[in-house]
Amino acid sequence: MRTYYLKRLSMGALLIFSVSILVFSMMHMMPGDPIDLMVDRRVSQDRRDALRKEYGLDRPLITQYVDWAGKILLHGDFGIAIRTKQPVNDQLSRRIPISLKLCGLMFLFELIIAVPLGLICAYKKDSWIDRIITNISLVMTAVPNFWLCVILIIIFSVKLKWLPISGYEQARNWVLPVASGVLGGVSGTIRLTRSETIDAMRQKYVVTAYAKGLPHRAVVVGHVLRNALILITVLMCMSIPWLISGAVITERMFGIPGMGHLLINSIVMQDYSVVQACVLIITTLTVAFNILGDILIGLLDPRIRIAQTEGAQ
Amino acid sequence: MESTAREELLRLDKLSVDYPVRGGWLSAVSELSLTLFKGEIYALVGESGCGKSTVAYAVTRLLPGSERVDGGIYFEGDDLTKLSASKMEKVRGRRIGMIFQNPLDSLNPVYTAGRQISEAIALDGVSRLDARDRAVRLLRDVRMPDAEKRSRSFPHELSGGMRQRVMIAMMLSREPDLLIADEPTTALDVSIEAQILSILLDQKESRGASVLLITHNFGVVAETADRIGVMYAGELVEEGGAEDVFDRPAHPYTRLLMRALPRSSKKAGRLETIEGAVPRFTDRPRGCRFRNRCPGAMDVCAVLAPEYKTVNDGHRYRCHLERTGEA
Ligand SMILES: Nc1ncnc2c1ncn2[C@@H]1O[C@H](COP(=O)(O)OP(=O)(O)OP(=O)(O)O)[C@@H](O)[C@H]1O
Ligand code: SF4
Ligand SMILES: [Mg+2]
Repeated sequence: MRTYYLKRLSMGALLIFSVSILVFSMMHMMPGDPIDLMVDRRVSQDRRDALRKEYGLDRPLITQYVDWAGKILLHGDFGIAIRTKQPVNDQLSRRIPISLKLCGLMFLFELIIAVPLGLICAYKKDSWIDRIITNISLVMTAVPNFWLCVILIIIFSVKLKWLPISGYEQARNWVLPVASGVLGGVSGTIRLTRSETIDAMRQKYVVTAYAKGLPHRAVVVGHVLRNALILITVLMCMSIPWLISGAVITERMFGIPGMGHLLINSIVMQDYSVVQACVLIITTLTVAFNILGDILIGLLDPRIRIAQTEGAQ
Repeated sequence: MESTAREELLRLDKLSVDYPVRGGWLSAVSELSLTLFKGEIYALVGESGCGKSTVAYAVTRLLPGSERVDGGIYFEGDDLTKLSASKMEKVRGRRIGMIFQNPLDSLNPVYTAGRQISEAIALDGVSRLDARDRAVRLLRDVRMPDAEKRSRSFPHELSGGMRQRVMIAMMLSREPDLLIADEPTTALDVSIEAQILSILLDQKESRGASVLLITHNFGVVAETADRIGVMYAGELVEEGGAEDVFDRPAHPYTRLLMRALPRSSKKAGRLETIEGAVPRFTDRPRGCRFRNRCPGAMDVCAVLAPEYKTVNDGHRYRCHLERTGEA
């Protein structure tokens, strides 16, 4: 068991390492000189050389990489932004809480809405309510997220003038962005919950549970849900990175100054060290949530726990 | 057969079950009447697909829900077909236990064996801790090797025979008056089969439980059953005391079964040795359901369903032929 997770962890570390090399070399493989991004064309060559020295850009690439990665690893320091000449960490620390809040709210509402609806569909399978929910969620899947944002803005901000288009200071600012994220993600979770629950209901052990005399409620909670929730929990956990990348667009559309917003701005401005930081953080989160999902599934499903144990030996 | 007055425990009165299929209703069980007495083992025998499990699920009201059920199921005075869902919950496990055909799928993979047994025991107001102790004792009773340790195992860590022991312990745990065992030994090898049958026998002898033993293996029936009912295509074609049916089978189908049965080995006891397959009926046919395979079929068999004929007290069969000589 422990060996299994150690293996997973080192695989994750390896992935993060490879991505870090990729994002690092990105800066140096791009046409043009990073110095060009910092200063005007008319700046003299002497001054450029001085700057190059100051930022350590004259050293061999390996040294630069080790220096960069070491600072991140040891101090969590992502260096100085080339364009804004401010510490990347300052920018991140202002923006990450905002993104966390957005993603957290989206995840929470998705959970509260999707799981109960999926359960209703499963238990009222083929009824009118099931048909309505399933069909709506099917349509929702086909709608791209940014399009949804636009529609929501047009209806609720422009036409009805109920909610503000952008901003993040007040609660009402968050309604549309969270709604757009939830509407986008909720349909997949509804359908997953529905199918997993229907699948669990059909299992023979559910019949056994009834046969030994358990009341309906106890069967539903202790046997149907308990088994259906294994995959729902794990897949939802593993979908969090998707949620985060989806939030990049949402932040941009609604002018929420989170990490996604920062990422897009930095790409446009070719502010590489910020891009590197954002990409690395998102990669690390993806890896972390995948490992978390793996641990969760092992905790929830003893069959997998055994397989993981044996697989590691 | 005992001469003492026998007390009725379960009575099926013209039980019919139809499943919805493309093109109509599949008649899985048709007007089946039988009575199970207290303290006896009644074996319901028949080929695969003849409707044995359907009978078992109908009695416990665990059918899938899309089916059509007709007739009465009387258990200690109650008509189970008319009980409310919550009253039925109190019948299951406590008054009627059911052992299922496939012991792998029938246990929940996420709970330990002990937990699944004690979950049943706890329904009778026993504390969780006591229930756990009793679960281990029950596992010992059904001769689970290393019961203490096995009670903490998950189903997939157990062999087929062990799983079936867990299932049996679970269904014995609340001491039901009636145990329905749906092919409890099909997937198991002969030595384990014998053990499991002796556990069922013990239930009858030690506390007077009745057992409805469902099987397609006549070999299983021989040593265990007091009475035998032979099913064919959803109908009960012959019924009687075990010796009567074994030694003096009256229905052409039963005779064929007996003739095809060298009584020693388990494999040969299986009922696949008769030519042709059980037909499936999507409507109630007019004549006899066995006539396409019956060596003695007559013209009348095609138009008129036979009535039961009585051989002696409790031994009856359903055929137009008078019983002639020995099989
Ligand atoms: N849910 C269902 N829907 C439609 N048909 C069904 C359903 N369940 C069973 N049947 C059909 O009803 C008939 C009787 O099935 P049943 O399972 O009762 O037979 P069985 O005697 O228990 O057979 P086996 O020995 O294979 O377990 C079969 O023809 C089967 O295909
Ligand atoms: S009624 Fe006719 S077809 Fe049916 S079993 Fe008897 S003889 Fe055979
Ligand atoms: Mg069956």
